[in-house]
Amino acid sequence: MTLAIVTDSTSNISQSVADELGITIVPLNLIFGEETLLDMQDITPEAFFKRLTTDPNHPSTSQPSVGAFLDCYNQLIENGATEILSIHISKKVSGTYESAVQASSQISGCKIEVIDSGTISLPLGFSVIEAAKALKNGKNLDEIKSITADAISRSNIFLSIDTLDYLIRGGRMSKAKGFIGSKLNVKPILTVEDGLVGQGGKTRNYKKSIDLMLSKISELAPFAYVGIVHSDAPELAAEAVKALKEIDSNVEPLVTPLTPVLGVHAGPGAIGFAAISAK
Amino acid sequence: MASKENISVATKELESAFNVAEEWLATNRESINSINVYPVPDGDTGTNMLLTLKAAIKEVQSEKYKSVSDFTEKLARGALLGARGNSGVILSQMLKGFSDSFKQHKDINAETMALGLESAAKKAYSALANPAEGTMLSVLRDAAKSAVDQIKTSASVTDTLKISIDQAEESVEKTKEQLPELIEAGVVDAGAIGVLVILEGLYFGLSEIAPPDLPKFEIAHLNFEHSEDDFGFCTEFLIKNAQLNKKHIEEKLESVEGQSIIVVGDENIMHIHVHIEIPDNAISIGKEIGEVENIKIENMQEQHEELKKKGQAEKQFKPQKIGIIAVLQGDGFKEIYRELGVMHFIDGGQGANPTTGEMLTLSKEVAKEHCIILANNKNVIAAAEQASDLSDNFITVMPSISPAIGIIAALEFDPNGELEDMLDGMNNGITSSQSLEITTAVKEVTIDNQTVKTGEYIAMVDNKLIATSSNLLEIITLALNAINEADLITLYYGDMIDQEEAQSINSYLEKNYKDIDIELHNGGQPLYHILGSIE
Repeated sequence: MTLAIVTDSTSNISQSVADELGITIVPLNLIFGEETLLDMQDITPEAFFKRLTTDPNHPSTSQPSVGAFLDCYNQLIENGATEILSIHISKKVSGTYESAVQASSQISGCKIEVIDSGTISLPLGFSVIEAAKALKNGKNLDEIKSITADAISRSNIFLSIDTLDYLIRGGRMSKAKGFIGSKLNVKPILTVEDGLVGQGGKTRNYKKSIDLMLSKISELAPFAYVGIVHSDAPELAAEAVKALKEIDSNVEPLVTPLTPVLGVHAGPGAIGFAAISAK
Repeated sequence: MASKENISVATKELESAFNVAEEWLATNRESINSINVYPVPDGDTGTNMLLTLKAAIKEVQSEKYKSVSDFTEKLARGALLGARGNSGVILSQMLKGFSDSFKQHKDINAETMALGLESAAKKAYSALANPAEGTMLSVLRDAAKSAVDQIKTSASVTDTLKISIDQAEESVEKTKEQLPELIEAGVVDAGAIGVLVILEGLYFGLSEIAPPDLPKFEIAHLNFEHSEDDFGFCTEFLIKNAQLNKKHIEEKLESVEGQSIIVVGDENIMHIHVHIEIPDNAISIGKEIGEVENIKIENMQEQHEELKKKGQAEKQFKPQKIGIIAVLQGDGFKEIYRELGVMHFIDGGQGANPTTGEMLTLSKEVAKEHCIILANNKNVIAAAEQASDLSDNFITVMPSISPAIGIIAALEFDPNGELEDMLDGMNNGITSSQSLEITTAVKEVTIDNQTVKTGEYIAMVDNKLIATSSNLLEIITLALNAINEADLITLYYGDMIDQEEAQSINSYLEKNYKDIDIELHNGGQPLYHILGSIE
């Protein structure tokens, strides 16, 4: 039995980590006007956030096509996979899971399990990494499935964003959710609730956002995994690392920019913490 | 020359008549916006119709046209490409129908104008899945019918327009009774007025009468009542080379819960207009069937909020599960509280104490399960506590000592949240912050062994005198320098400080306190030059 692990680009796993652990990443699509770009393959976060503020077209995103998943699965099968575990972004915020399920139903001769992680970004990524590590340790499909589910259940993410506009535009958040005062420059903090993007609080300046997110993420300490995501803002990220180290000087967080597809919904100026607690 | 006696008018004259119509519509734009309640009260019907008409006219100006039909065709094409909003798309269809009719007529005369209007109304009707009575559609239909019925008695294009305008006036008036939204708001339909205005504009243009400088009616201030979830996003785009017919596209849009769906055009270019919760759902449908272009997404909720502010309508919420009332004075404060979801206020503060009864009565009106009162003044806390005692655990009082501190508590408010968590958050916010007050002494007093002369500024932090001065900027500086530690200081200026003075205070703060987050906002409170919170 040869098992292959697949995820999508919203996992925020870098290509080098994916290569190292044998994870296959299927990119979501980013659409600027008439141009369709593959998340992280055709456009870097740096180029994306630059373009976000200059391009007159507001970008939109879409799930990978069924065909993209078919190509991916078939390629893995050609390379010898007999089982595939495909772990994806919450189906309540993206059609990625549906595409993967449809593709899997069109393939015979290989057992394909598609999992809705119910989460997004690094909590998804960390769980997929945990799955890949379990595979390296000789675990079988069922064992890896439960290890993944367990990792997801111990994960959380808090993301401070500058404005809810981007999220609302793509329909990723209920408009009625909470009140955001624009006069006082209130910054919402997002989290994942029941597979959806929900509000984890609101604050009025950067320092308070960091404080609030740190206090929430430290509820998961000690960490098995901890990371920092940002809208391609290395200086914000560096400060966040510093703040995290003040709480626990031993942690070495994974620092990564949000992929362009996530960036469409978070907008510029986002910074956040994600973690999976140690068992 | 009051009216033309000749039968036909030249295309050039029709073009300039459309220019006058645009001008007259522009004059009426805000008035029309102000009565826009149907299908969604987003206050943009006048703007959308105007921008659509502008796009149409721009198309004919950029090119030379050879004939009437060439002119009307270009006009219709410009409208289709530039159509904005529900009303704009319908207007573009009217122009398309108008243009179609001139494929058979070379002249613009009394008869062809009437037939053109009839064709315009028909085309617009065919574009809508469920056309409603009491809208721009029914008004143009009635107007066109009158014009066609009286073709024989009309000698000129202006006669025809006059007949249609008289009928349109009547039909517009009738819209008040035709749609529930209009009955409730007591207004005529905005789009219907738009049609009338365009007809009038054409009439003015062809008669060479300058349109009035003032709109037909004054801007209305309406009170809207709608639940937060009533609005989605107005989403519009063009599909080129569509692989599906109109009906199928409409069905697909309905399947993703699209509303106010309008699909117009042909397989070369189709214009899609839909109100939808998730705009991307509609756009993906477009992408499945052709090339999508010119995507426009507008948040109708935001438009609605804007409109509410414009009309300064104090929105009366239906009682919420958890309600909240703030005791305060100052319009600036009210605006900020409203943005945080606090919609109900009791006038009160220094020297203006609301009664227990007032608080009890209002709390029952705004909340179903529990009501929070932000006392916002030391002297109000006692009366509020009394209301709470009498309320049988219905009211919780937050002991904020100023509206500036109350805002910290208001930030935690969520009408559907967990009450206990919310109250904890509010209490934490209040206890972990300090209050700053700057005012002038009304008579010579001795506070904390310090004598303060009449008219002198005094600064207090948590009711302790920390500085006195005869100069406002100096007292602010002294006060800020006395504060040891703060992540965020928010100052709210009172009604005795004008915008100019506030601006100079603000630039002073920005220049001299780069290392702390200090914000200055308009509180509009009486008596206190500055109220602030130190967090």
